[in-house]
Amino acid sequence: MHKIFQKIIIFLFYFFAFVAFIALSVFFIFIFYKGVNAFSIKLIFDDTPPLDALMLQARVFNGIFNAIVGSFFVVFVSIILALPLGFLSSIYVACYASKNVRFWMGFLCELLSSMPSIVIGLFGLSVTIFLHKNFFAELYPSLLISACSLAILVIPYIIKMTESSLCQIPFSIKNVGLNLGASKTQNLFFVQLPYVSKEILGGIILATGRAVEDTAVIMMTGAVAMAGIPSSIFQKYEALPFFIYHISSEYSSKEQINQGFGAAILLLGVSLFLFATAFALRKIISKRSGFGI
Amino acid sequence: MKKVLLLVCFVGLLSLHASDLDIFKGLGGSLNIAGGTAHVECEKEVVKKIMQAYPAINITIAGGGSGVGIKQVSEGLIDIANSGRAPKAEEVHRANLKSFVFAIDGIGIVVNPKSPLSNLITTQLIDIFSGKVKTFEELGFKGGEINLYVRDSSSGTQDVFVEKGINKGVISDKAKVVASNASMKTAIANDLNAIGFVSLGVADDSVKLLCIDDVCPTIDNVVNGKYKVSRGLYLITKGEPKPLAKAFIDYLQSPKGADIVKKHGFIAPKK
Amino acid sequence: MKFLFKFGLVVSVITTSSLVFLILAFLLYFSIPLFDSAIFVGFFTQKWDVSKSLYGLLPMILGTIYISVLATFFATAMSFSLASLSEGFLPKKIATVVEGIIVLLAGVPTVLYAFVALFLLVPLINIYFFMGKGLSIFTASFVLAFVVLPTIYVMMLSAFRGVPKKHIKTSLCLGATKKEVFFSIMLPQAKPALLGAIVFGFARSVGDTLIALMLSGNSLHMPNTLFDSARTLTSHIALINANDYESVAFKAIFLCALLLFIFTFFVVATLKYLYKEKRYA
Repeated sequence: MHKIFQKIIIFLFYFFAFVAFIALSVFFIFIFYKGVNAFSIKLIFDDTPPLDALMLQARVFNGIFNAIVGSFFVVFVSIILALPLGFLSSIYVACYASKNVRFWMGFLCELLSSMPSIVIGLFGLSVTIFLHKNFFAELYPSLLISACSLAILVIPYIIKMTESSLCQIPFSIKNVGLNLGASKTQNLFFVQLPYVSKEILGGIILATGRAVEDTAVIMMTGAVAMAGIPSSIFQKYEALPFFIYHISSEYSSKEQINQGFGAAILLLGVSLFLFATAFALRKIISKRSGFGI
Repeated sequence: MKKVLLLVCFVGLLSLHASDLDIFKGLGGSLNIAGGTAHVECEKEVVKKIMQAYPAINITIAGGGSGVGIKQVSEGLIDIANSGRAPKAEEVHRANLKSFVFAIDGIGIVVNPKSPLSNLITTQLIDIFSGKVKTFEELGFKGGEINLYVRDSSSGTQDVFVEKGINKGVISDKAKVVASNASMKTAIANDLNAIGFVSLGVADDSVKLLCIDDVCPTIDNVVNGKYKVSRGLYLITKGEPKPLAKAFIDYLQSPKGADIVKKHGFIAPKK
Repeated sequence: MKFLFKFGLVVSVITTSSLVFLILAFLLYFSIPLFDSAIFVGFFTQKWDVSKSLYGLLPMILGTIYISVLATFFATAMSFSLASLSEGFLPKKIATVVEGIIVLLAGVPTVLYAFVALFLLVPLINIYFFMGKGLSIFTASFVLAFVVLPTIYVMMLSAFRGVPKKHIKTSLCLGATKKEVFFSIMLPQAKPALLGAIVFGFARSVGDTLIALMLSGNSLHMPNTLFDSARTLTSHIALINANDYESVAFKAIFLCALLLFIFTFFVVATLKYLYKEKRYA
């Protein structure tokens, strides 16, 4: 009886794995088929000459170029904002904090990283409304607000990655500088940080991937359907994931769906590339030093 | 910086010839538009023209629905609200809103092209949307359960439809809610048993328009008033529009603007 | 220089650790006006109908529960199978490939799943299976399952790997088959961590917005069956967010967010507690 039961369970394992495999293959085949067919220079730049568009000499209208640039900017600014904060916090937690502080920081980070992204988006929006009403009448939902909200989204990732890599440095390396008479700070800068530079890079790449794909935050805080290339961080902007969402609900022709698929394959490519890089880095690291994360 | 200035001058010179866009000459800065979703395609074309000719101008368009647009313009968060309904008296009063009509639009009842329906009387319509009539059998057709599609509460299309199409009747809460005119069209095109309503400018041959009380939603019927469920498409500003907003509104109301309006399936208002 | 560095450290720690409290403060700031009014109970008992001034969140709460429970169920079935297979049954090489693929899946943007499902799965269900039930709880939760699958899978893998190698090797040496090792050694020992993975996956599926927003139909009635359409708390926030900032409707979405916040807090606290127990045991 017991044996049969186990056999059934193992059969179910294979069955569910098979279902997952089929569903995922259908997903990837469909998106690649549609996306590759839809993809072209015209999709990105429409009828504006690509070179002019890249030099910002001419504007693109029906292409996804604006969305690409908007996404790039918003992610770039958010990483710039998140990096020093996350990096310094994790150094503090890993090297200076007491056990209690470390526990609570870990808890808060976990809480922040599990927070639904729409809640963070709503937070960004409410802060904007609050500031708009009480302090800066000229402040609207904009690229800056989105970038700040995205930064909140990715800070816990950066902290977690950096902190765990700093904590996992073998004692033989951690203490060598100290024993040679270096101060704690010197040891940190000249021994520990260089040692974990690859992990930190991996963390940043993962954080970038997370920021690129998030839609809920930017749709609450300033991404719009049509905006052109933002000339300052106080403007509204277009972004790839929001473009895909927008197309899915507002498309009015076959060409627009194709554009959506083109954008989709581009976004998928970027995200997978970032993830694969971070993954590969981790593999290299675990080979080098014999510890994995 | 100098290069950009030169470019601005150059394009400015070029556009001296494009006389219909002249009203934008010397204007710059950004113009934020949000609200009704029926307006968007039409405005996109206009915006493209303007931004190509005048690089100093940056115009953004967002959706959200008419109610959202009106509320945001009242808050001063955007410059122009797109609205598919006239602003209510209290809204006008509270924020000193000014509204400008640039197109007339009908709202059509739409079903899947394969649906047997082609005409409904108003009482049937009221019963269907209130959820009283649940199946096609009750209407005398085959097909099974009716799937209702409606818009969210901020939609101007829905406000006008409720007021003029189903005489302020109720809408069943079982109805599926979609976010825009275009997504209504998509949803209906993908669902054999669907009934919904959509801006005539947005409707195309992926959906079938129904006649109400034997009056079909054609442009003629909307113009001569036989087809009742129609509305103006409004642009709304808080107080007098700023120069750039004013130019944008003027352009949409000009003969050139009227051509674009017609091209997108709407009716240009008579002066 | 050194002082500046230390100053920077302290400032950034204070900033990052206060983020959660800031979020909580803002959610409370906007939703507190609702607390002392008579309508407060209404939020948890009524329907949502702005035209009748009803602001009940119950349909959304139910929708969230239905969709995420079902999604967690699907995701658990698949990721538990995959994790068990790759840890207990499959040859090492195939297992590595499976692991690589699924870890990469975590990098697929959520919006893409929803986008593809909208143009592939929804018409399919609409036409061939259940007339016009394409946008429903079932569709949303099925697709959502793939979003949380990698999360649960990775956590389950580490749960299985947390089982001491000694125990496994000993039983193998004593002549146990792979099957026996899996069912009587690995499964019982990994059980608490496996449960933790499921709880975490559930939290992830509650927090997702785009899938439910694009695939569940967003209707406002209380969901009854699997093929009803429903609205989740997250998509309710996304749909109502651009409302009049003074209105009750707008403030009510802060209540939604507050509910999500509290829920996340409890999940994280529970997990922290579970894992802490384990560490000291």
